[in-house]
This record gives sequence, C-alpha cells and structure tokens, in this order.
Amino acid sequence: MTSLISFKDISKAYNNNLVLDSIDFSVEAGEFVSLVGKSGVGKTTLLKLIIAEEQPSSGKVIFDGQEVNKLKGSQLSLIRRRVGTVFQDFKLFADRTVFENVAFPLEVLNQPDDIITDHVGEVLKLVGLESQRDQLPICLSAGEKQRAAIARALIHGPDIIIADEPTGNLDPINTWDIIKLLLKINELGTAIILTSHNKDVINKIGKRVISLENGKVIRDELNGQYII
Amino acid sequence: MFLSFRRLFKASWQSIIRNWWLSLATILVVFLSVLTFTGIRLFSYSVNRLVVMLQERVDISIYFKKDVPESEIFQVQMELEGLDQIKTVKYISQDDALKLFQDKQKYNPAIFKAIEVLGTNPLSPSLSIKAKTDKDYQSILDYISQAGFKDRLVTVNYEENQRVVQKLDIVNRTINIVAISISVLLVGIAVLINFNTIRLAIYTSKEEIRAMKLVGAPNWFIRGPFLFEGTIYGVVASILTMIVISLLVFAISPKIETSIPGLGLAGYYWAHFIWIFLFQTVFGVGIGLASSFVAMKKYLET
Repeated sequence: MTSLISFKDISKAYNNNLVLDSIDFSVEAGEFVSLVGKSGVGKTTLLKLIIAEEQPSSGKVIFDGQEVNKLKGSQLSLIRRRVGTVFQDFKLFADRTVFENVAFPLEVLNQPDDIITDHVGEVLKLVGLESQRDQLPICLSAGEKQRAAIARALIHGPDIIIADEPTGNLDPINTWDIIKLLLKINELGTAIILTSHNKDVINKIGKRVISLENGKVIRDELNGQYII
Repeated sequence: MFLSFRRLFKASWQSIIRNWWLSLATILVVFLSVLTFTGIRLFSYSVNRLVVMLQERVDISIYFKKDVPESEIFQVQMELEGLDQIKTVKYISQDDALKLFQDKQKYNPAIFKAIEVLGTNPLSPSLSIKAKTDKDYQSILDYISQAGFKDRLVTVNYEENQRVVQKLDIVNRTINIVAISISVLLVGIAVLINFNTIRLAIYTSKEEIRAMKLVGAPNWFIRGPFLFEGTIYGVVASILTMIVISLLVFAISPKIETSIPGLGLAGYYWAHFIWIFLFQTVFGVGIGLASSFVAMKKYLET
C-alpha cells in the first residue's frame, strides 16, 4: 500500500548549512504524527517540503505516489488543495471575515454559494466559531484566530493537515483546546502532522512522535514521548 | 466561469471598500497621472492650433503701380493661381485697401484725418498670396522676382512676413520638442509613482498572497482581484479627470477665446469627448493593470 507522504533520503542545506540530513520516514492516511525537536532543527522545513514551498537539496518527497518537488503550476496547486495548512501566526486574510476566510478554499474549488454556506456553517460549528462568523480577524482572540485557521485548513476535506507550531502563540487553556480539536479532526479520518516544542502537550497526545536532532531523525515511536 | 468572475469582482470590490484609505490614495495617484496625460494632450492641441492660426495670417502681398489696369492685375492673379505652390490669390482693389486701412486705424484719428486732408487714395491695388505650406513662400518669391509683370509692381511685401514665418517655425519646433520632453517626463513620473503606489498596496497583501498560494489557489485566482482593482482605479480616475477637465474647459474656455479668437479649445474638447475619455481610460487602466501584474509577479513564484 502506498503511504500518503514519504520522505526519501531528504537533505536540505541553506548556504552550506545542512538543516536536514538523509531523512527517511512515511506518514500513512489518517495517522497523527508529532514532529518534535529544538528550534532550527528543521521541523518547519520538513512541512514546507510537503507543499513545495521549499525544494530539497537532495532526495524526494512523495505525496500519494507523486513526486512533489517535480510538480509545477496547476499540478502543484492540485496537491496543495489536498493539504490543509495551519501556521503559528495564523495567516488569516485580514480584510475578510471569518466566514470568508474559511470559505476561500471552496471558492478556489469553484463550489456553488449554497454548498459553501452550508459547509462553512458546519465547520465553524465544529471549531466553535459560529457566533464570530462575520467578524474580521482583528476582532478575534489568538485562540479564535487559530480555530479560524484550522477551519480554513479543514473546510475542503484535505487528506492531511500540517500544523506548524499551532499553539506557539496560545495560553495553556487555548493550547489544549486546539490540540483537542486536531485530535477530533484526526478521529474523523484526516491525517495530521503537528510540530511543537510543548513537551506536555506531545506527551498527552500519546500518538506517533518523530524526534529530530542535528537534522536527523533520532527517534520514531508509536505512542511516543517527547524526550529531551 | 461566471461564478468565478463574480467572486473575483466581489473580492476586489470588498478589498477597495475595506482598505478605503489606501484605495483613495491609489485612485488619487492614478487620477493625477491621467490628468497629466490629458492636460498635456489639450495643451499640445492649443499650441498647435495657435501656430496654425498664426501661419494662416502669413502671406505675400504684391503691390501694383496705380496706373496698372484691373484687367492686367486679374491676368497676373490667374497666372499665379496656376502655380502648384499657391493656395489662394486674393485681389485687393485700391478702394478695398482704403477700407481695410480705415478699419484698422479707426482708433487713430490723426491718421484718419491725414487721409482726409490728402483728398486722394494713396494706397495701391495688391494681390495677397497664400502658399500651400510655409516652405513654398521662398519659391513663390523667386518666381515673382523673375516674372514678366515684375516691372508693374511697386513693392513685394514679404520680408517682414518671412521673419514671422521663420520665427513661428522655430517657435513651433521648440514648443513641440519641449512639449514632447515634458510630456514624456511627467507621464513617466506619473507612471512610476502609480506603479510604486500599487506595488505598496500589493506589498501589504504579500502574506495573504502566500497563504492563498499554499491553499492551492491558482495564480489567475490570486491575480484576478488585484487586476480588477487596477481596472476599477483606472476607470474611476478617468471619470474624475473628465469631470475636472470638463469644468475647467467650461470655466476657462470663454476667457481664452476672448484673448485668442478662433482657438476653439471647447469645440475640440466636446467634439472629441468620447475619444479623450476612451483614450485616457485605456491609459489609466493600462498602467493600473501593468503595475499590478508586475508587482505581483515575485509573490507568485513559490
């Protein structure tokens, strides 16, 4: 069976500084994977390689049988539509309401208005933002912004959500709310790759943990722990 | 297709309204560019028209001795009308010449009185010759200087006219060169300011553009609202320019016409209203679209 995502002997260097060194692992459909490690260890770079925001110096990133780093233009757009992306700094569209932000991926897919209205309503209910649907991002708290970003990443039914430090800007209560939301989404069948520094959170999740150090995978365990 | 088009238009309209301050600044800059463009066009028309009017006043006058019969003068007129370089030849009799002179001197009673004291008409009959182009005057003069009727003439009045023609020619060429240089400079500056303003507006959205790329939006979908915005800026700026210039033409044109009768600025403007509007709209929309297109390019590369 083909894995959803495979990193095959991936290395990445910036100005001769090797950030990732011969990385090899796969993520299966519906899996929850936490990527852990110190700052600068290459977690974000690995996520960027999945959506071809960065190109590897060597090796291949395979998404559902397609080599991502060889795709261009519309083929790349098609792959990106199968990935939901959540950023630490949310990256919401500042001049669009919560509803419009969440609806955006469906507009890209040219879905009709009535389907968008229904679907966005359901997802906002799932993330608990029904009452804020007409607010601009500037009116939301950090936790609410991250919920809106997750809703936008989720709305078009992606195969996987990649969440880069989604709790990095949040207080402990909001942090755990967001993690619970990601677990719930995972239970509904969407694979998740989460990067985090937060040892307590990772240990509570109790799913697969991949630890990076000096650009290499040093540990890859199911029901793993964040061990420093 | 229609759904996408409607959404792109809606997104650009919302962006204009929600970022109204930046939109207003951008429209103002595009408006100044278009106003400069059309203002120079109208100025150029006025200068060219003025030069043509002055050129039309230039002629060669040949004055006949008083004893030359009218029939002989008519023969000379026919001979001259047969020349390729000549546009018109007008006969001015002694009586006509006196009337014209009196008309010109009606506010100078001393000269008026002097003619009355003389008791006779001191003026000579003449032919007023207009050439087809400025350059033809010299060859007409050469012809007259060798013509058979040369001895029947008192004088050929051209030297003064020639100086005016030469000066006009220099003035016309200088004005054209200066006008073209200033036009290129001002329009160039306006386009640069315009480009930078739109680039700044797009720069403020660079994170959003990146996020749109990462959710799989194709380039045309991301570009669309910005290009629509550029188009709307161009059209609004063009309409504003037409309102301002129409008011200016309406207010200033009667005063200019009093000083320079026959300039016809208002007539030209209203007769070409639609063309001026279309031309400047294409200019405004063109710089809006080109600026948006170029400014977005680097944010769409990943």
